[in-house]
Amino acid sequence: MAALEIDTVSKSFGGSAVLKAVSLDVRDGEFLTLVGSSGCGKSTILRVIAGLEPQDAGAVRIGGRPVDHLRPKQRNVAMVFQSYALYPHMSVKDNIAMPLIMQRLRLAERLPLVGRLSPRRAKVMAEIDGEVGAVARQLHIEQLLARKPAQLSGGQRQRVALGRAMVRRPDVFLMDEPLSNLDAKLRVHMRTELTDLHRRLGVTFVYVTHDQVEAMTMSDRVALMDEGRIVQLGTPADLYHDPLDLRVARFIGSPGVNVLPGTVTGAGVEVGGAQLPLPVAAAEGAAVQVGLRPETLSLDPPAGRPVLKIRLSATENLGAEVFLHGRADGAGDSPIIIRAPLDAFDRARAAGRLDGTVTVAVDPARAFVFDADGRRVGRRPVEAAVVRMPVPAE
Amino acid sequence: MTVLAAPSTPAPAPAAATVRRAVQSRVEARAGYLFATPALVLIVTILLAPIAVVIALAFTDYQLGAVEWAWIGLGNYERMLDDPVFWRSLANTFIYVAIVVPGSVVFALVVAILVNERKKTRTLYQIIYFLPVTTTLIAMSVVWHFVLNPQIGPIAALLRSLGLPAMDVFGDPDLVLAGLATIGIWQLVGFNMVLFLAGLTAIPRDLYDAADIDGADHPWDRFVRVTWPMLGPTTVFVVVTTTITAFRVFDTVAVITRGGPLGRSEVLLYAMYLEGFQYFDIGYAAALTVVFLVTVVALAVMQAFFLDRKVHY
Ligand SMILES: Nc1ncnc2c1ncn2[C@@H]1O[C@H](COP(=O)(O)OP(=O)(O)O)[C@@H](O)[C@H]1O
Ligand SMILES: [Mg+2]
Repeated sequence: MAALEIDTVSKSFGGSAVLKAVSLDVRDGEFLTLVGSSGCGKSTILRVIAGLEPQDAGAVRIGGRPVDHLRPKQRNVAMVFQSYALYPHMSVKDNIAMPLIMQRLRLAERLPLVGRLSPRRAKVMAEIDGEVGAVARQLHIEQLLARKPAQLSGGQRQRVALGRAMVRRPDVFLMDEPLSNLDAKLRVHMRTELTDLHRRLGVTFVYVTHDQVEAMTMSDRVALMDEGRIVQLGTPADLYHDPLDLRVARFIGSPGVNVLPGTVTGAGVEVGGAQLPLPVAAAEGAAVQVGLRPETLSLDPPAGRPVLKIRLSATENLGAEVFLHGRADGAGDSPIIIRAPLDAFDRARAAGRLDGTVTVAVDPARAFVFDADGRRVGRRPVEAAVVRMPVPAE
Repeated sequence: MTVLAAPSTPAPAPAAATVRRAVQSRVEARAGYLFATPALVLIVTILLAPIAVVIALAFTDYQLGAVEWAWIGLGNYERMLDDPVFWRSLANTFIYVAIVVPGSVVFALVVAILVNERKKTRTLYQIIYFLPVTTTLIAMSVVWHFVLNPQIGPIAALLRSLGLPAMDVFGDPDLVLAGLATIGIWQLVGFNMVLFLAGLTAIPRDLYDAADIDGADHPWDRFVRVTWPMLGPTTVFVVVTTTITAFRVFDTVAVITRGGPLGRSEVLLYAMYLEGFQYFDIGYAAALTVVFLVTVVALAVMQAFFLDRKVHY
């Protein structure tokens, strides 16, 4: 168990900078997720932490101890690969036992026949068997120990890979998109299993995914990456309700945030005819981008709040809630999605407010204003305690 | 009655359907054979018929150009049992195979691993090692004959200049097979290397990363725990094809040694060639061919069977 510090780490491959001075402190026992689109450098960070890829600059410390000069096996980290990387010619048992065999037997003792001459070997192997068995029981794979990886389902392989990582009791668990090869249903199930495992082991987890739902549901904190930089680090609620960058607002949340063009006025921001009374740190007349989460647009009568007029094009009824798709009149004709609870939708329909167009009320306190470069201006943090976290949809 | 009649009325319908299905499946089967016919005809005329002819000829005393011939049953095989040339050829062939197969497989594996680690020069090395494969062995035999010639060859000159006695590889009964085997290895390494390189490229990099993290980062451990097991299927293929190729050694013997000295480089194919095309004893040559075929097939099948079980995952 240990904290992990990544200190201004940079890495390029043949002239293209993949990591640009990345700094990140992972607390002891924390579940931290690196999330970002494909190719943003997530795997590279993991590989640098593990020691598989030397960084060009910067330092990595595990438990306060610099590990840059250490080989992967000396860093006491475990890694679960996207492909699982199980040894296909070895049984499940041998796969899981591999790190222990390498740790505890000397080179001569590992040799096929000569190794048996060592008096120590039998005792060590018995110990290893016991530990492998214990890990297999925890993961409910004890009946699979004799099989080869090819004879296992995707979910079972996943568990074997976890077992191989757990058996050495690492300081840090590194996971590179471990769920991306599973079918949707198993993926949802394994999310809870992994968070359970994290709670039981109490070990520091660094988890990489491109799936914002995994990031939001599993993590203590999330670091959103883009083009080799960490754009924002915070709790899932921080990233959802208080994105500091348009890229964060867009990446987190499903359906995605609505982005409308706006203009800074004396009183705040004007967007699609609506005046949002927001303190904005930008010059009057400047063009801005206003982010509105789909659930912050209300179908109920505006009651004095600013409104947007929307031409509806499609309605998706998901049972408990309804997604309304349309375009915002006067706001550059931007596409827009409204996420309404079913009762609000029914009320609006009964009142005849859904006749091809709809007027929605905007909550200025929950609008995000970004400048032309996508940086947040006019920050208005909302109390996370007040706003209920919506459950992200798949 | 109606209760009983009810189930009996629809009965003919399934029966008719069954008949129709049977007819249809027979039609389909016939069409299937029709489609397979061209391939079957080709296989029979190109592969099976010649083999059958050889097997039949082996039971005759047919001489090339002769008008009369007779069935002599196992006569050719009986003759073979008492033929010292046959036994010598068989033994020499096995010795040759026993040197060439391990030699070219191990050498090719080492070269492939070394070449695989090169980034920029990889293609260059690949081409260099592959060159012997692209040459004709007859022409190269002439070159080797010259290179190793005890009077005028550069190797002999080098040895002489060092004050050492010149070696007459192809004139020395104890060296001749080793000399031929060296040429065989030289010719096969490039091809086997390419096969091993393909096998090496197919090993996922993740496995080496996992091995690094698990502590198997010593070159020996990486080789024993990842590379070698992952190359298993490739190795089986390489060993089997190399064995078959080595068994067919002929060109170098025919061009360089003609079976000499003292018959110490007589091999099966060369004996077959002599019997068939020098002494025109087609029946006996056919019998030798049958023995050759059976041996090669048996060996290849055995290897494939035993090794394949070991490398299966
Ligand atoms: N060994 C390598 N050689 C060259 N380029 C690489 C290498 N590894 C990664 N890259 C490049 O670095 C970028 C980031 O890769 P990666 O960290 O794997 O992204 P992610 O895991 O976020 O999808 C990609 O553009 C990729 O092509
Ligand atoms: Mg990746």
